[in-house]
Amino acid sequence: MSNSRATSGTGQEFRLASGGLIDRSQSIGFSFDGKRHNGHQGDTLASALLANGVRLVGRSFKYHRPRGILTAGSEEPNALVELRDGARREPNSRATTTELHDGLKARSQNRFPSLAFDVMGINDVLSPFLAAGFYYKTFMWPAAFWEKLYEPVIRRAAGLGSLSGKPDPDSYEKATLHCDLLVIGAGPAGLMAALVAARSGARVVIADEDFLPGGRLNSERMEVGSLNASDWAAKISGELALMANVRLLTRTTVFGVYDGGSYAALERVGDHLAQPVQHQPRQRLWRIIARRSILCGGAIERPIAFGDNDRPGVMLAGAVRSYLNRHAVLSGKAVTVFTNNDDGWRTAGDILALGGKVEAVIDPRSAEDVSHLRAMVGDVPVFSRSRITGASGSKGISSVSVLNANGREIRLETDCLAVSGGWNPAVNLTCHMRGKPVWNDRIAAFVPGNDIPAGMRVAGAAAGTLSTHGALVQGSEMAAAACAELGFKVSKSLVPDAEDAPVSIQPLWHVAESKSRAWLDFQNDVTVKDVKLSHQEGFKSVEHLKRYTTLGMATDQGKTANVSAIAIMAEIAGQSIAQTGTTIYRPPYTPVAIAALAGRMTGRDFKPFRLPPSHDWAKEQGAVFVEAGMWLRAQWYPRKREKTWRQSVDREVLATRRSVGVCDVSTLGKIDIKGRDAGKFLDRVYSNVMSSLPVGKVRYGLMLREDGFVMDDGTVARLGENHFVITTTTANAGLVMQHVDFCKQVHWPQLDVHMVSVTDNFAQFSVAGPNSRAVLRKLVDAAHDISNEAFGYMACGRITVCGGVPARLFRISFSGELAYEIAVQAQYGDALIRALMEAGREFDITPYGVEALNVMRIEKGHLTGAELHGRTTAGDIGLGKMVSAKKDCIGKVMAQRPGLTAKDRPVLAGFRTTKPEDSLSAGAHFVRMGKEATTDNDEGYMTSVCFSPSLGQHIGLGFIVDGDTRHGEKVRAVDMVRGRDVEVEICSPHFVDPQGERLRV
Amino acid sequence: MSEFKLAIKTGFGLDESIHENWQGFSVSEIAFPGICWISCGKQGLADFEKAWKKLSGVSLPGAGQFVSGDDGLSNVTIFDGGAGQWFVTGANASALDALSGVAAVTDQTGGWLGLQLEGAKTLTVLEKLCGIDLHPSVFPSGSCARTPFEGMAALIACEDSKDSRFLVLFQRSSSRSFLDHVRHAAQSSCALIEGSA
Repeated sequence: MSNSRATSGTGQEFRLASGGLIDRSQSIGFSFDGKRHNGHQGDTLASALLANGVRLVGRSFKYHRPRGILTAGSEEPNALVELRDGARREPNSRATTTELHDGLKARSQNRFPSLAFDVMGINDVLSPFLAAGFYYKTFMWPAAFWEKLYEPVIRRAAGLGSLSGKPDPDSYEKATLHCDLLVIGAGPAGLMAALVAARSGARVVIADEDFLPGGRLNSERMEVGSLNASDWAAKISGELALMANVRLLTRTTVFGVYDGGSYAALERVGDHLAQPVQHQPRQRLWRIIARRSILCGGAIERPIAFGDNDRPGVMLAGAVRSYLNRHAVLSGKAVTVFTNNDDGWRTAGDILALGGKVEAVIDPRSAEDVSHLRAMVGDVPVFSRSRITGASGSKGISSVSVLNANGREIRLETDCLAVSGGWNPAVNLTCHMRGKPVWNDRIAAFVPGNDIPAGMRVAGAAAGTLSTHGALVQGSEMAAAACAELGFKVSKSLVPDAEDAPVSIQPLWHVAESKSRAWLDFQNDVTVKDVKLSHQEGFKSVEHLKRYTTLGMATDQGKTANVSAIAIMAEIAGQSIAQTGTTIYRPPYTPVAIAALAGRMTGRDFKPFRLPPSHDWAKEQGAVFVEAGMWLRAQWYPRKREKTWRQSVDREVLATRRSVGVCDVSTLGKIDIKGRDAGKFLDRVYSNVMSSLPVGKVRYGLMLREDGFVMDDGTVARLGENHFVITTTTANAGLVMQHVDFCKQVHWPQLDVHMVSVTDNFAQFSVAGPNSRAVLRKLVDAAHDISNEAFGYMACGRITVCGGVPARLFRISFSGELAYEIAVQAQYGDALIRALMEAGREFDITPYGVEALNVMRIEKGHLTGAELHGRTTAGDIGLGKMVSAKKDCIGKVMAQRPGLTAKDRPVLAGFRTTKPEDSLSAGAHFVRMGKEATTDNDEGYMTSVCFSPSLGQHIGLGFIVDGDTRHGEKVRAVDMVRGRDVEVEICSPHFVDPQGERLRV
Repeated sequence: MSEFKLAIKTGFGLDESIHENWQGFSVSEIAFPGICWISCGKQGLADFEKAWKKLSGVSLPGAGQFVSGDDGLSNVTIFDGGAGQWFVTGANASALDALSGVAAVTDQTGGWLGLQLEGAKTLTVLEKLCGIDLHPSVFPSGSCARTPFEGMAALIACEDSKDSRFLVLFQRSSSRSFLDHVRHAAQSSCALIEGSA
């Protein structure tokens, strides 16, 4: 059969005139390193490059050796390129899985100044100094140079591609799928498994990393049933795609197996396009929850190591066959085949059948062992009991040296060497839950062991069943077994006839007679010599071998390298491969972009955001917002002519203390506690007594953790005999809800108490300042008396506002002024803030943000998370008496530990600067005057600081030893980080209205 | 009487409920007259069940289910919210006063809101929002579950599996974040019909 090459017009001199699974009617233009080429729909970048005669595609990681295309799949170690331009630049993309699209721009990477002439190729000359583990020995002196000089230089010299450094313009998303059966891989076993399960009524997800289902069926010249293998694959995948209970995911790699039958898969939604379709993500990360799974991931061919076996043009035999049969590309004009198994001969047979030239077949097996194969290659010279010792040709192979059965070395001119060292089942996913593959002598490879992930089965080549018919049968059987387990009535599907040749292989891991370096791990530049060195240095375990040589630690995880290296280690150690064992694989099976793992969680969508009810109004006022947990809160409200945030905040504080201010405090956690035992329950979770709180009153409460430290503080309001509302700090709302729920469900399930978060239910505003009552009187319905006499300090109650709208009023103050917190259902929140502002107009009411709120609470000596940071006790914050002696509570016993009651614990105090021009910083440590600022002399630390517009100086809160008895003493506040050393005076933490008179008017 | 009047805003801070149409998918904000949370201990369950049935005319739902009715309370739906807990839409706390002696009732009308998602593409959209299995064989009409949507607390209910109609209840403060995610999931699943948003 002849198949003349298309040499005119297209420039694709290695493309056959017919055949293959490409669409010749669609010519696709692309460029590689700036040079324009053409390919066809159905090509990968690798197949198109080969069609155009491009063999040199990259440089190796360490030695910068010229490299070509080795494989035709995701296991490719060599052909890594940068794709696209600008912000879309994607380094380390495998040319073998990159679909060709019009305008595709690809560049080689890790070379300077060009691929053909890479000055870093000097590394190859220096290779004797750069053997495995060189960096453990070579760059030891002087020690300081490692971090500053050696490592940066090495990292620049050795590496992969580089990122653009620009924000990724594309979007990514995450999604979840559930199914009865997940079939991983759409080759013969996978398609058959999916078909059986789908016809049995199971919900099936079948995923394949290729854009064309079929696996090896698309790469082989064989028949399945009465159809060409690829036609059969197209027919079955077509049937599956039309079934309502099947989800066929192409361009989707299942890359991880996790607990509970969950699998991670990456769908490349738009990678095959110049840029994703509008509104479509570039990639989608699937979380697949499967009741059962069948791994049908096929097998990966392995090379044989011989001298200079990394020359461009040395390829795996199965890959040469893929390019030939699927893409109609001859990988060379005169191909030599080097194989230790029958499968490699198919490559020679297919090349000849399609009109190509085979220079010779070299097989280490005896003439007798290969006699049944000779007919396949006609009069092509066959060298049995022979092996290749070396390859020549710097940027592409030009000849090979063959050591024949007589021990003579023969030179053969060839531009492509197709190598097959056998096939390794792709066991990777079976290892993700610590499964250990076991050695199988029959196929000379590791196969899945018995400890594969729960619910998983393995079929086809991944299980070591290397014939097509065997894969079809096993896929069918595994699916039937899985379906039966799940209670489906199994539909019998006839398994079609197909090739069923037995495996015949004579293991050959490396050619010992080779004089040059022989490569095992192409991507990390690990050679046979490195394995020997590792053994020699005592790193004999496979785990040590891996770390010492970096074998299998590149982006391909050593898919083409590991088994051969382990076999060579076994050979050197004089033990079997089974005894030597294997390392195992972890996710991801193939590299996954961080962007895909992040999905939509970037920028504003990094986490969900929550908006308080006054947000729109605050935005209209030009508020500056700050994130507080998930909340966006108004930080301050700048006015015209205010140039700094301090000016705004000072104004807000002074205006509030002078007249009235309003602040949205809806973000504080609010929990409704109801039930006959609500009071008793609160006594147990708060350190102070709550059951005695009269209805209509509020009490400050302190909550301890089990370990005795303060968890949170807040208010407890009693709205009814069996109804309380507790508040928490904004940051701890979730934590406190979880805590009280845990207490109820686990500690005291017998109590009649019910709790639910009502944080979202209420819009709550703090109205603070001497005129707050006057403002509220304009809103509160006349039936409710809010005078000091009728509604005194710490009162609470249900009221109505604005003509009957239900509301709650609390007379509590964080600012230290006469203040109220008024709450209405959240849907009225926007209207209420506007009404408050309108009602307060005559009093020059001022909205204030969280900065002013913070200043006022520091001035008043109130605490927040800065002081309740998880390491302070009730005693530390001056509230030791709030731990009631009359009752027990969570944390009470542990709070009495000696360390927590020690006299020398720093306690809360106030601090003020002694010089008006000085400012303070939180985190500063206190040192006695005249003492050196050392850890030994450290007496405490500052937690909160601000400029107090009320006092006209900087003040702070902090913890210092004997802080409650040292008022008036001066100490140093030393901030090593910011380089500050400020003299401060210890004082009461209550800077403003220490007697609390303003609150009670 | 105060001179001020308070107008309400929808869950998305607007004056009117939102409704958006996509090819095979629609989103409609549901304005409930009331939403309540009910909790009842094991000991009082029988009394509560009786009182609830009498008041609403519908039975309590089984685990992972909801029940709707129109006999006692109009357009009321009760959703299972976990052991001894229920969500009720269609009634505020005062409408449930009759339960005050037998269960804890908390009005959540201001805190939660609902979106109805409907159309052939709904399941495709929901795949991108929530992690539970919503296939009709697993989550048929009448099912409900509390589950996070992109990290936000929510309750989802299948109103009609044939029409792929779901109701999602979620918290008001995160409503815009929630809607952003729904819109994104819809965008990548189906096209927006111009002028519908």
